[in-house]
Amino acid sequence: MNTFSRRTLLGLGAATAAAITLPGCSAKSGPMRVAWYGPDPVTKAINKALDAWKAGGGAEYAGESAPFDDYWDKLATQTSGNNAPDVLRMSMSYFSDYAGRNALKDLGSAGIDTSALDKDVADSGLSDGKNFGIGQSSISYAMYVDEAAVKQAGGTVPEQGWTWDKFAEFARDYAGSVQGSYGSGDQAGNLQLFEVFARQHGTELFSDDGGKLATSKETVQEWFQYWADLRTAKAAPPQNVSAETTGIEKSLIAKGKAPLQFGWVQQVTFYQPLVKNPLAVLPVPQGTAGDLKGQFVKGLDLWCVSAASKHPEDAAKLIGFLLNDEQAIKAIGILLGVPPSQKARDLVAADAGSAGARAIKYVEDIAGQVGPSPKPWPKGYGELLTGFGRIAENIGFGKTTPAAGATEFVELAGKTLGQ
Amino acid sequence: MIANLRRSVPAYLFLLPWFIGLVGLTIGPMLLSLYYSFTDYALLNTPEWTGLQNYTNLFQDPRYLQSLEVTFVYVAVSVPLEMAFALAVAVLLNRGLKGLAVYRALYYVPSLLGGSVAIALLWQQIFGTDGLLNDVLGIFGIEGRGWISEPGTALWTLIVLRVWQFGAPMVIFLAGLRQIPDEVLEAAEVDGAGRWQRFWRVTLPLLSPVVFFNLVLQIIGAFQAFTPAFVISGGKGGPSDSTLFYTLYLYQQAFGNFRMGYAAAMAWVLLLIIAVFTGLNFVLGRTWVFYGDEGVRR
Repeated sequence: MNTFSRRTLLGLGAATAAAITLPGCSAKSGPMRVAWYGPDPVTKAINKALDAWKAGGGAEYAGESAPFDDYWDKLATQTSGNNAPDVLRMSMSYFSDYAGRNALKDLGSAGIDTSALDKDVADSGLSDGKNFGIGQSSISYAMYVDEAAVKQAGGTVPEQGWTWDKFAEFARDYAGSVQGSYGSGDQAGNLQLFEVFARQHGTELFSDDGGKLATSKETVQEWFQYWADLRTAKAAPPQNVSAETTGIEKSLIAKGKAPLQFGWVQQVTFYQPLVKNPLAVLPVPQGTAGDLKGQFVKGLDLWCVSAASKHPEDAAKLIGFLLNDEQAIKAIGILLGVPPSQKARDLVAADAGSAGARAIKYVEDIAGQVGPSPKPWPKGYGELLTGFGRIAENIGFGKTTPAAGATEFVELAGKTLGQ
Repeated sequence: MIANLRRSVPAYLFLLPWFIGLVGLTIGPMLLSLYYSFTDYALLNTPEWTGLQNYTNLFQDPRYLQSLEVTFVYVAVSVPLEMAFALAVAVLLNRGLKGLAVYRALYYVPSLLGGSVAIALLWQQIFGTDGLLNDVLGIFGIEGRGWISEPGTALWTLIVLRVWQFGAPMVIFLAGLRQIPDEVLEAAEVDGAGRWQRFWRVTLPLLSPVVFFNLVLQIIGAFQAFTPAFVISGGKGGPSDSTLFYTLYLYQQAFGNFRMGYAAAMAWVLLLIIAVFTGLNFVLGRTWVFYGDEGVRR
C-alpha cells in the first residue's frame, strides 16, 4: 500500500481531525439564537412576537424554549461551552451569577430604546455600573383568591389586606367548613413569599452587597413554625399532599381544594383558565393590616445578550422590538409580568375583565404603598431558593424542627453567599 | 524498519478517527475532570487550584452522605431482585413457548423505555395518592398512601421500576440458557434428578458465567442510575432527599449550583467505588463461576 503520498496522508489526517473536532467547538455563526423559559402559554406568546419580528423584516433567528428548571441547567452548560444563545431571558434569581461572571454583554451602548420604560424597570439590570440586561416586566408578589368559593363557605377576604394571624384564622375556618379542602397551600418552602415576610419584620432578606443573609434566624424559625402550626391545624395540607401539588395543573386551587394561591402577579393568568370563578388579585398578608411596606414592585426578568454573541446588533434590535413594538406587546400580554411601559400596559389592559387586566390594576394600585425594591438577588440565590424548599420539606415530614431548619438555612446561606 | 512503518501507515490512518475520538472524547475530558476535581470551578470563570479541598468537603456534606446511602440501598436491593426476576422469566420463556419472540419483545420493551417522561407519568398514575395501587388496595379495605410523595416509600417505587425493567439481563440469560446442551439435562434426568435438582445442580452452574456477567453490568449500571430519579422527582431527588441518587446530586452540584470542581471530585470517588465493587466481584467470582472448558484444561 504505497499509493498514499505523504502529502495526501497529511491532508487526510488534518481533514479527519477537523471533521471530528468541528461539531464540538463550532465557530458557526448561523442565525441569531433566542432562548426563554416558561410554561406553554409563554412559549406560544413569544413565538407570536417573533413571527411579527420576522414579518417586519427582522433578522433570521432560531428560538429555544424550556421549562424554568431545565432552562438553567441548559444555559449553564451552553455558557461554559461558549455556546450561549444570543438573546436570552434572564431571571433575577440567576442574574448575579451570570452578570458577576462576565457571561453577559454590557448593553449600555447597544442603542436599545428604553425611553418608554418605567425607570426602575429599565435600571433593574444595572450591576457594577454596567447594564447587563433590560427589564422586560415589573412584578410583585400577590395572592389570587377564588372569592366565589370563599363566599360560599361563608367567609370574607378583606380587599385592604389582613394580618398573618387573621389569615391563619381564615384558613382554619375555611378548612373546617369545606370538607376535604384546605384554607391555603403550604407556603413554608416559598422563599419569595418569605422575603416579603422578612421585610415585614424590618430587614431585607440579604445585605446590600449580597454577601450575607440580613434577616435573622428567629424570623426564619417563626416562618417555619407558622406553617407548621397551620399544618397541625389541618388548615394547610400535610407534606405528602404538598409534594404532589407541583405544577400549575396539580395545584390545590386548580383542583378546587383551596380557595387561594400565592405567586408572582402575572402567574394569575396561568391559573385562571383552570378555575371557573374569576380570581381576584390581592396583596399577601401583612404584619400590620394594610401596611404593604413588605411588598415591592421590581423588574424581575430581563432580556440579555450573551457576552460571546456573534450577532450583538441584531440581538439589541430584537430586544428593542420586543419591548416597544405594538404587535410584540400584544402577543406577550402579561405572560412575562406586567409590561414595563405605560403604553404597553394600556394596550394590554384594554381587555377589561381579563385576569391580565386585574393583575395590571393590582400593581398600579399598590405601587405607591409598597416598600423600596431590594437589590438584585445575590450570587447563589438559585441554590438558596431550592435549599429553602428542601428544608421546609424536611420539617413538613417531621425529619427536623422549625428551629433546627432555621439554623440549617442560616448555615446554608453563610456557605453559599459571598462565594 | 522504515519500510515496515510505511506498510502500517494505512492501518494507523484507519485507526486515527477512533484514536482522535478516544483522546478527544474520553481520555481528554477525564484528565480535565481530574484536574477540575482539585479546583474551585464555578463553570463560568477560570478554575482555581484548591488541592484536596473538594474531597475533604465531600465527607462533611450531609447531603453527599445521604446520596451515598440512597445509592447503596438502591444497588443492594434492586440488583438481586432484578436478577432473580430476569432469570425466572428467562427460564419460563426458555420452555419452547409458542410465540416466544413476541414475549421476548414484550418483556424487553420496559427496558427500552428507560427513564422517559412517559414512565414518570405512568409511575405517578400507579403510585400517586389517587393512583392505581391505592385503588387496588382499597378493594381489600387497605388505606393507601402517597407512595411517591412520601420519603419512606419513594425510593422503593424506583426499585420496583428497575425490577420492572428486567428485559436486558433477561435477554442475556435467555441466550445463556440456549447454550446449555440438552444432552446434559437429559442425562441428569435419566440419573433421576427432579426439576429443581436439574435447575440448581446443572442449569445454574452452567449458567454461572452469564450470571456473573449480568451481575457486574447491573451493579455498575445501578450505581450510575440517574434518569428515573431525575424524571420522577423533577430533578430534585425528593421528597426530602429520599431519592437523591449519587449521580443526581452530582448533576445538581455541577449544573444547578455551579460547583463543577466539587462534582468532578464526586465523579472520581464514584469511579473508585465502582472499581472496588467490580474488583470484589471478580475476586469472589472465582469461587462460584464455573466455565465449561475448565474440565478440559485439567
